[in-house]
Amino acid sequence: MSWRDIRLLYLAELRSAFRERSVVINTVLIPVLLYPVLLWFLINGMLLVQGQSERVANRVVISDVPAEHDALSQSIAAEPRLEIVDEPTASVEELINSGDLDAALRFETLPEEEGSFRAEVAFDSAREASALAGQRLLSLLEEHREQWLERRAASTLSHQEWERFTIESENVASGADMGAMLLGLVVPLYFVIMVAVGCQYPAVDTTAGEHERGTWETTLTLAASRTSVVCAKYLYVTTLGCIAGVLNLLAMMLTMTSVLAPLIADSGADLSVRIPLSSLPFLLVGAILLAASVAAAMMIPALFARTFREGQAMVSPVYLVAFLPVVFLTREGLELSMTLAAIPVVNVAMLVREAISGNVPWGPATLTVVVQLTLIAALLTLGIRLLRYEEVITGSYVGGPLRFLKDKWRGSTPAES
Amino acid sequence: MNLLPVQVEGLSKAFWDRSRGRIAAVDEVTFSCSGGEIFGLLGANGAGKTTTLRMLSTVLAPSSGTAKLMGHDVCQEPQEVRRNLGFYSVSTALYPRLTARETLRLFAVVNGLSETRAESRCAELIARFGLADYADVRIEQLSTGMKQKVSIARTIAHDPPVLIFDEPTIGLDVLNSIELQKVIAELRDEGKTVVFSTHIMSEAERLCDRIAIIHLGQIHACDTLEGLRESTGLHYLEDIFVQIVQGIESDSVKAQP
Repeated sequence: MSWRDIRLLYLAELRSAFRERSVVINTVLIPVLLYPVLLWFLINGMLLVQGQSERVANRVVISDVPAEHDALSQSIAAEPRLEIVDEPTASVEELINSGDLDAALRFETLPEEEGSFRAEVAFDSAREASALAGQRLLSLLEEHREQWLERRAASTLSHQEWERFTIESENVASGADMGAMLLGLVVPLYFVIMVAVGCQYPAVDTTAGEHERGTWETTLTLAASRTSVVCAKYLYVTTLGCIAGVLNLLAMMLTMTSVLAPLIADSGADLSVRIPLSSLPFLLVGAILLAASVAAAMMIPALFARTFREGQAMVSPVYLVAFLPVVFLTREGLELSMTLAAIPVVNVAMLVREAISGNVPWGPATLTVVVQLTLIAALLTLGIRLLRYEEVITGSYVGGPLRFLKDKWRGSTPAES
Repeated sequence: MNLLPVQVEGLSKAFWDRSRGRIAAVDEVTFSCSGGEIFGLLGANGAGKTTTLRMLSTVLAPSSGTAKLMGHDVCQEPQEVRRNLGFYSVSTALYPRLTARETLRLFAVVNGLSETRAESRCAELIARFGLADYADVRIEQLSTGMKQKVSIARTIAHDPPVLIFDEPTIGLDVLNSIELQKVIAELRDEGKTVVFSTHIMSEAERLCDRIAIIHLGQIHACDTLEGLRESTGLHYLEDIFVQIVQGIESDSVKAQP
């Protein structure tokens, strides 16, 4: 193995890759643009749905409203998004369930105490229009109740006495805490996806792509050792995976800071997206470990592919296997424990999450590095061993790595080299 | 002792096929080539030419036998063999996203030239093959003729003493084919050892100093064109080839129980 050859081949791979539109799209554009675009669609989608709901007038029935509460009837009638319909003869609940009516407000005089009432709002929370109608009625009812109680109290209580018992809520989390919580929930999932997306195209391009373009044999006739060739290709795939992961992280932070934080601030909350400087080495290590393991895992099946399409099909299961465990990590409150640190990919995702919150536990972090390095070493050893077989080197074997290993185990395709 | 640039002795290659079992693609092939010689491997499709040359270029490992290039064994010192060899075939395409200059530089440096020597060598080759106007254009944007020139240039980028051309004229038009043959003859005149495989008789007649006729993985005749004419009593290489191959096939039919 020669570092000089590895450097030369690695640089040639990188130069070649960045001239390919698909590589640039997968490694740079998607990771950078994913969050702003997703957020744009999300906000616009929400506004669209909200706008449509706002425009719809809900059909409601009000019944038995005492004369004392006529003001409520008037405010409901004045609300343009509520349409009062005549009291039906059929059961109100059935009409709401069937969708013929959205909500109903019914007053009941309580016999125990004179002048006491109970108001009941019926709606179907499983149906959007009905749920909205119920909320609108409840909101008007709450407002009316406050005013009515205030008026009643004013005759017996002073304003100061009325104000003596107030309720206020306070979110003690700082903007930085909120930002860390939000990043911690989203980052592990998308970080793994983006690193895998960043690795996928190059892994296929540098193996199956070379077979398809007829350049694989050209590379094999270079005076570099096979190990140098494999190392250069592996480093190239890892680099692109890292680039995708890091760019994605930066884009996510930028999106949260410049788009999400102002939106949240409008609603009175505080959001500050900052990663502690001391966490940056962990993030970098996480990106490298993840990209290195995903790259190795993807290159093994890709070695058996003879066309780009075949390569993509062979690599897809690796993508899914890497992605599945991380889905569970979007749960709040989960911490990087020794058990989680023993699970490849999940451990790196958790390390990244802990790094963002600025609280990396050293024991599990060390175990994470050990587990990932062991996995990478095992995968690379398998990859280099597979490349000792001519069928793999020349791309003449028909089938995937599992079938190949099974054939070798049974001895049905003896190695000639 | 005078070192022969190419020495092949008892070289064999067997493949394993699920349905047919063991297949001997090359069987006990022996030959050698001198410096400044074009050695032709003449055979029909599937005769074993490409497998033999792939073993010489270390892409495939022999099942048995030995092959040495400039004294380096293909199994023991594959990198040294490749450093002394330029390999050209239709299965060794160019990297489409690199430019001609980048390709030449990569092959020169990885195959052993220093960075400074590689720069001057690239300039030489660009001038020699008339690539100046296209040197910084990506390979994928070049015409077939230009690609062929870059392919030859990259084969000799590191100035190797031994060159292998495996059916180099396949897919080329007449003019490009003649151009390529001229270059191969020039390389021989520069003292290079050229191993040239083809199934086109006229090419072998025009270019090769010695011709080996290979059929069913074995070499059945190996001599100069004049020598082959004398031993067979025939004049045209095509007739010589047909007589030898038909003789082998009728022998193998007789040998079958």
